Amino acid sequence: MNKAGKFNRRNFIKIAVSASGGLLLSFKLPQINLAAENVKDHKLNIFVEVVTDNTVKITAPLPELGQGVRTALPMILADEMDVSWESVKVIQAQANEKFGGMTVGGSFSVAGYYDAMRGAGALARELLISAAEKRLNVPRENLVTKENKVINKTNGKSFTYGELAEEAAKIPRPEKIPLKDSKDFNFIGKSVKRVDIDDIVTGKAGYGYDVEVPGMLYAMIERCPVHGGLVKKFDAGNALKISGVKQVFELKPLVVGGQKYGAIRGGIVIVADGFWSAQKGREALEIEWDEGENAKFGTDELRKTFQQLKDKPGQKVIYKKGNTEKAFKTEKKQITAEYELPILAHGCLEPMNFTADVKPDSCRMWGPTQAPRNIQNLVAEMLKIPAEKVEVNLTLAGGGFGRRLAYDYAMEAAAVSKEVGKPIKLVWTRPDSTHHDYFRPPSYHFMKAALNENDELIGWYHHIATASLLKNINVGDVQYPEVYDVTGAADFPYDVQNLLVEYTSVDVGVQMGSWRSVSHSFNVFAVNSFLDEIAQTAEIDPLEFQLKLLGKSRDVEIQLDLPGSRGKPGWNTGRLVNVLKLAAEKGGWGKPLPKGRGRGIACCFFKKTYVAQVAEVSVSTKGKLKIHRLITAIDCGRVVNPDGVLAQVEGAAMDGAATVTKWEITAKNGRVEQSTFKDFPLLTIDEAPPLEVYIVPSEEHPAGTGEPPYPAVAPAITNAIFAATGKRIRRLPFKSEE
Amino acid sequence: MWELLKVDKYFLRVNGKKHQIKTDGAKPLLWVLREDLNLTGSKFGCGFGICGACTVHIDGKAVRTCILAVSEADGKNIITIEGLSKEGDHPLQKAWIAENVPQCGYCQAGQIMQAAELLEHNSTPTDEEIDKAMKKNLCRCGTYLRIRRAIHRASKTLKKAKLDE
Repeated sequence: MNKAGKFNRRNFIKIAVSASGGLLLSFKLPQINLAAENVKDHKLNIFVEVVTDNTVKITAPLPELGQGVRTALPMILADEMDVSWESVKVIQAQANEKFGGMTVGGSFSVAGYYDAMRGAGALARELLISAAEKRLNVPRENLVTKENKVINKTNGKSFTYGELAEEAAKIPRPEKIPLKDSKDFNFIGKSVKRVDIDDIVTGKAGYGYDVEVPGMLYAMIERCPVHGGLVKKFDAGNALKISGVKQVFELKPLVVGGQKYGAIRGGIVIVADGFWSAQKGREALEIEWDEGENAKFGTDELRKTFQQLKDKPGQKVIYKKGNTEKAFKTEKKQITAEYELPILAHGCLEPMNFTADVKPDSCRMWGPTQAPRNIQNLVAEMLKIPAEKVEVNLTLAGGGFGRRLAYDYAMEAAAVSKEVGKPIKLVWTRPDSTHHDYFRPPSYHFMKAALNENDELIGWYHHIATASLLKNINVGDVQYPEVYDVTGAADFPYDVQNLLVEYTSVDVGVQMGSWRSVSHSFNVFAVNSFLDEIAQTAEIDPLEFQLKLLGKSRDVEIQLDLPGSRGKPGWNTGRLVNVLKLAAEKGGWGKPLPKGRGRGIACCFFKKTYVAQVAEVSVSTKGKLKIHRLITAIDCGRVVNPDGVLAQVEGAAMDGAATVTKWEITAKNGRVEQSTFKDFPLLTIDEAPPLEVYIVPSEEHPAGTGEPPYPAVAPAITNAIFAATGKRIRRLPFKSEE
Repeated sequence: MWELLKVDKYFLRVNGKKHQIKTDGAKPLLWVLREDLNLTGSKFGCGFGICGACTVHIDGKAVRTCILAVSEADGKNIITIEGLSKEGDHPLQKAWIAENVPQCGYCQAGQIMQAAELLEHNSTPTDEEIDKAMKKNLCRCGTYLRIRRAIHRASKTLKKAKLDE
């Protein structure tokens, strides 16, 4: 199962050393006194401080949104450093360029920081061994490390890390930093509970909404219900009569540095002494809006715009192989289909919020975000102060799912604090968070396939029509509007001679943004649904059809005219075949089912993670869907925290089920029609499908798990609906009354 | 559409401690707990009583505090997540840890308070009974299967404790 893993082993070590060398620039930093007397901590590098009482403080460089990084990343370091997990205290990093990008996105956290965390742990261990070497005056090869101790293996004499810390912190960084052999890992590969769990179950865990700063006031903003609308005039008279309301003023729209993820939409700000008074003040406001162009936008009209693209070429050819025109001219057996996916909100349970305390030449901030350094840089640009004068403290976040990659609410907090001259907790309500989300773009897919006389797929056409994410998050013209919209489709992993993927971007009158798995979230649905339709039409088993198209195990890399890694997607077909076979086997693929039930299968790869899902469903006579089983097989390289991977897959699977049955954002006259969980409902416990998750053992470099398990869930379910009922679901969500 | 706030005095007993609060009687209890009493374990998720993140016990009943006027809680006995157990060792809290339930964790205080009410009335709930009691507590991350397991686990602990008595 993990054959591919053996190939890259050498490569993997090499990358590890160079990456850690790149990040660990400063290991000589000032010592910090702890509150306890006679206890000092000694910084061994930017990630590690060893306290004289043998506590090891490990800095988690990325914010925690529920994905488990505050646990997984320190685990990697602790393992490499040979410390007991009980001795570890996790410290949350503030925004700082020393910690790299610090953005939580692209399922990059463990994949991207694995080498750095290992390197930091290895460096700390090396320094501690050097300190012991000096003290014991014995050759280095006699020294081993175990559970916060350096031990002389010839006589068992040992020093604790705490005893060696002060000395170790003075030793210059060695040239070579050897890494552990993976067979010596203590925690990597074993399930560890999340470090914040005790605080979460007792209500002590601190989220953004819980931040309290002395002298702080609350602020809410009434924004135009139509995206891009402006204040024409307003009357604050009644609002100011509400006790607790301190100030009402207009905040003008502002986009700093061309980054719409940090856009201040503008509106009327209510400053008050609490949430309730702010809310009451807000209700008493009288505002007249200039709604602007987007007031004409509606999702019904958008649907027509999409439908008018039928049979028309796309604005841009994304990938072309062979000659599809010829294939579609000559082959008699042709299949066409259209798929349609809606706009989606994120629905993070913690509404947007951030706290800022702007002073004339500095700013302190606290809150939940996926992009702390973007906040730091953009707030600095807005306030015209150096970035190092902006302190961004990371709280826990009540969910992210891509929403908190945008930091509009943090920019608002800083702008309002500056205006008021006091610390401000800027809070959004639930309807605010729904109406002014950075939505998952809608999409429409025009598909065409040609089969030869042997029912072999020899022509594939996919025209993706969506709202360009890049155009939505940048000001002005962009060179590659499609860059975030075509993966999951253009990187078509199946061996088809003639392939054409086209793209069209349409304008949408609400703000678009990143949403769990980005373009995979729609393209994988279209690709897997259509493959299933082709297989069913040709009367070939859908699994057999996929396996045949993937062919023998091999590495594939293609060139697309796109910048960065998106321009050269690569994958291993064998790893995709592996997960397909594993999910099929566990799901009893091909075995008889009770009457009325059907099975569906789908798969995808996302960067270096491979996932397949099998769903087993039935649909009642009233049209109600029941998911009896949902099986996931995932190959995400080496697993750091298996229970963390399970949690991510569980979450993604629930999201997939909600995508099929519930989620849709609509707009009319420029207004988003949903407000709360009443009209954008989350899955409930009685609707939660039973899940089974199988992780492929692997020695490949760790890859991401936050997004990859999501995209194939929906098509696995809808393919199963077809198998059970003969009804093909081409539009999501699937409405039971249809 | 708007009205001036009417400030009055209210007496609340929260986690065994008596408090006198001077505030607008229409202000939801959630904001009194969070802002006046600094008990931030009860969360603001929706403000419409839909998600359950703000759930506390009032005279033993699980209640949504984001839509409950503080005047309605006057003189009542309130238990929040902070007061569910002295040492954070309520069987549900221990079970939540054993099953490693939370992802983002934001809904979990409400989930635990709702589950605690369930176990008070039914110490050995079936899956269906759990679903019925818990289906108005929303989790965006998808931890439902673990929540169900954790409730069964806590139920077993309670049953064992009863047998040992």
